[in-house]
Amino acid sequence: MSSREKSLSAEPETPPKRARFSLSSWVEERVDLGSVREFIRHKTVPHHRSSYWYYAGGITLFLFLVQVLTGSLLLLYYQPSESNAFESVRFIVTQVRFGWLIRSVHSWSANLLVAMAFIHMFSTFFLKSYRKPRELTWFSGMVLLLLMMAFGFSGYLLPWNTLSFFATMVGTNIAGALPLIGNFMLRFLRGGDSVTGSTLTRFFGFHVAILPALTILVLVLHLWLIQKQGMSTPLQLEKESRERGENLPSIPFFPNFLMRDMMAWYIVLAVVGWLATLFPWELGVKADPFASAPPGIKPEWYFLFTFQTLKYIPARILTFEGEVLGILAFGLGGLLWFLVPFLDPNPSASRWSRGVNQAGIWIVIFILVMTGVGYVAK
Amino acid sequence: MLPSRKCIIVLAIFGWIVGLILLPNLYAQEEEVSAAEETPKNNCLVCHSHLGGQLASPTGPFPTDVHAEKGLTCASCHGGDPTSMDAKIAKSPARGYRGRPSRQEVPEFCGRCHSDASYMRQFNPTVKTDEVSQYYTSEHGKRLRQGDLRVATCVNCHSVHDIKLVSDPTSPVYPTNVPATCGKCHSDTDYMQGYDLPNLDQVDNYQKSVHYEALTKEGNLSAPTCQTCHGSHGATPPGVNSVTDVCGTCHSHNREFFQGSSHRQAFETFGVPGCIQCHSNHAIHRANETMLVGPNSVCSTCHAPDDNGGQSAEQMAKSIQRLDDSIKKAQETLEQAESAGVDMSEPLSDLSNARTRLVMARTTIHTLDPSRVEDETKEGFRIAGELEEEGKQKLQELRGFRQGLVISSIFIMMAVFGLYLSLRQRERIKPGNP
Repeated sequence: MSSREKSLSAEPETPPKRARFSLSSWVEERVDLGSVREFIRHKTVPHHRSSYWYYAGGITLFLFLVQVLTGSLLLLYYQPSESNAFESVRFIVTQVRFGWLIRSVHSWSANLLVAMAFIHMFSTFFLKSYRKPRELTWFSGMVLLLLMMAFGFSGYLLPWNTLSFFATMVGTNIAGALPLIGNFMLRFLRGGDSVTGSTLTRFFGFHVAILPALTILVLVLHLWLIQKQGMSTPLQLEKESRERGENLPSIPFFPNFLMRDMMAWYIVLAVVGWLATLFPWELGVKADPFASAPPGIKPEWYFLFTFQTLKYIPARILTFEGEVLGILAFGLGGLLWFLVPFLDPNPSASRWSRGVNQAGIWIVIFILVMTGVGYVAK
Repeated sequence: MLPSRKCIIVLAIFGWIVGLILLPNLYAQEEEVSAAEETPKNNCLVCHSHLGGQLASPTGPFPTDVHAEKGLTCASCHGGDPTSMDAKIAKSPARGYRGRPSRQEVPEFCGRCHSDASYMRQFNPTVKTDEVSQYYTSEHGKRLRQGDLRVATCVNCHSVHDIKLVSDPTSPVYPTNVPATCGKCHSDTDYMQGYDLPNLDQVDNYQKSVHYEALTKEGNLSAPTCQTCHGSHGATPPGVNSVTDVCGTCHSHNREFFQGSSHRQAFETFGVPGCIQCHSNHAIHRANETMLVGPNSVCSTCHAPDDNGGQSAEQMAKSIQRLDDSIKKAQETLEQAESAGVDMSEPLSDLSNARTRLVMARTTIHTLDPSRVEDETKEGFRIAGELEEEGKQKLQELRGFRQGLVISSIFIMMAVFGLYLSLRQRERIKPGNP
C-alpha cells in the first residue's frame, strides 16, 4: 500500500483539500503550454568570443518597444494638423508633466534605434550570418531597417517646425526625382504639389498606423525565423570547433541569455535617460510655408550620406540628369546589398567572398565619410 | 532552384543599363522652345556699340535697366527712328529725335513719362507721379532753376541707363545705399565748396546713429535714412519749428508727450529745436536713462542736479533703471533654463511685454512727470518678476529631475550588477556551461 493510500484510509471522512489556485495550471488546463516550455527549456544560444554582436538585435527590439510606449503617450496630446501640430508638441514639452522627457526619450530612442539597426545589419553582414539557411532573416531584417527609416522620415515632420518642414521638402524632392514613379511618389507623399497640412496628416497616418502594422508583421516573421533557425555562428569559429572535433559552447536562452540581454537593455535605458535629460530634443521654430528655406537644411543623419553624395554629382553626366543617375546608383547599390545572400551564397575563404567583405568595408567607410562631410559642410 | 550569383549580378546591371537608356526618353522634360518673338530692331544699340567711348557706354548696362525690362528702348526717351540704319534718318527731328537732354532739362525729360499718371499706371497702379513737381520744391530743384548746374538731378541719384527699381538692392536709392548716394556730393568737401552748409559730416554722423544700426545691422529697411527726414525728391532740411513733426512721424508718442510738456514752451522761447537739442540730428544714439543723470546727462545742460528738473530726472532714471535691471535678471534666469534644455520660448517671448513697458517708460520721460514714468514701470516689474519666478521654478524642477535621474541610474546599475552576480552564480553551479 502506498503512503498516499495509507493516509486516505486513515482519514476517510476528511474531504480532499482544494488545490491552491495557480495561474499557470489554470492556463495549462485550457491551452497546452508544454511544447512552449519544452522549447524554452531546450533553446540554447552559441557562446563565443563574437557573441556580443547578438545583443545588437535585442537592443534594437528594446528601443522599438520604448518607441511604442513613448509614442503612445505622445498620442494622448499630439494633434496632427497644420495649425495645431507645433502648438500641441510645445504644450507637451512645456505644460504636460514629464512631457518633455517623454518627447525627448522618443526622439533620442528613435535615433539610437536606427543606429543600432545599422550596427545589427553590418554585424550580420561581416559575420556572414545571412548565409543559408538564413536568407529570409536577412531579407526581413532589411525590410525592417527600411521601415525604421520610414518611421524616422515620417516622424521628423510631425512637430511641424522649420527644420522638419524644409527637410521633408528636400526629402520628398529627392523621391520626386525618381525615374518613372517620381512624380507619383512626390504627390503621394505630399498629398499635393507641396508640403502642406495634408502632408502632415498623411505622414501622421503612416507613422502611427501603416508603418506600425507592417513592422509588427515583419518583426514577427524576423523573430520567428531567428527562433526557428537559432543564432548563426561565425565561419571561423565553426571551422575551429570542427578542427577540434568539439561542438561550439552554448548557454541556455532562458534565463542566461535573456539575463544578459536585460543587462544590455538596462544600460541602454540609462543611456537614453541621460541623453534625454542632459540634451533635451529641441522644438525649434514653427514652420512657415511661405518663408524662404533657412541655409544649411539637412535631413536626419541616416539620410545624410545619400543627400551629401547627391550634392556632389554634377547636374548633367553626358546626356543624363546627374541627380537621377545618383538615385539610380543608390537604388542599384541597395538592391545588390539586399541580394547579398544570393551574391555570396557559400561564404568561405574564397576570393569572391573576401571581395564581398571588402566591398562592405568600403561601404561603411563611404557612409561614415559622407555623413561626416555632410555634418561639416554648410 | 535559386538563380546563380553571376546571373543575379548580370540581371541587376542589365536592368540598370536598360533603365539608363530608356529614362532620358521617358523622363525627358519637354524643352520649351522659345518662340523667337518678332521685335522691332533697335539699331541704336547696333551702331552705338561700335562707336566706342562715351557714345557706346549706354549700350552696355541698358539691357539690365528697369526701362529695358519693361520693354522701352533708347527711342522711348531719346526719340528718333531706331529701325533705320541711316544716322541722319534715325536722328532726324522729323522722326521725333530729342537727343541728349541738357542738365537743366533732365527733370522734365524724365517727367515726360513719370509725371503722366495715365501712362505710369500701366506699370504700377499705385505709383506716384509728383516727383518732378516735388523736385522743384527742393533745394536741388530751386537752385537748378536758378542755373546752378552742380546740384543733383534725377540721374545723380537714380543713375542713368542702368536704373533699377528702388526695391532692387543694387539700386543707389535702395535704403541701405541711400547714405552713400547722398554722401557722394554731401561728403565731398571740394564739390560742396560755395554752398553755405555748416559741416559735411552728416553721413559720417549718421553712420554712428541708432537709425543706421537698425538699417544695416538689424536689416530694418524701414529705418530712417537721409530721405526719410529730408524728403527724397523734395529734399529740404527741416526747419527749427518742424523738427518735432519730422521726428514725430515715427515717434508719435514722444511728440505727443513733448508737446504737452513745459519743455515745448521753454524751447520755443529760447529758439531751440525740439528733439535734436537733446538727441542730436544725424548722430542719434540709443536713448536711455544715462541721458538723464550722470556724466552723459543732457538734462544737466540746462538743469542743476538739485533744481526741480534735476530732481525729476533723477527719479525717472531710478525707476527706469530698476525696471531695466529686473528685465535683465529675468532674461538671465530664463536663458539659464533654456540653455539647460527647458523650452522657455514662451516666457522669453512674454518678456517682450515687460520691454514694451520699458520703452513706454522711456518715452514717458518726455512728459517730465516722474509719477507717470513710475506707473509705466510698475506693470513691467510685475511681468518681469513673474517670469523670473517661472524660470527659477523650472531650474528647480530640472535640478530635482537630475537628482532623480542619478538615483534611478544607481538603481539601474544595481539591477545590472544583480543580474551579473546571478548569472555568475548560475553559470558556476553548472560548470558545463561557460
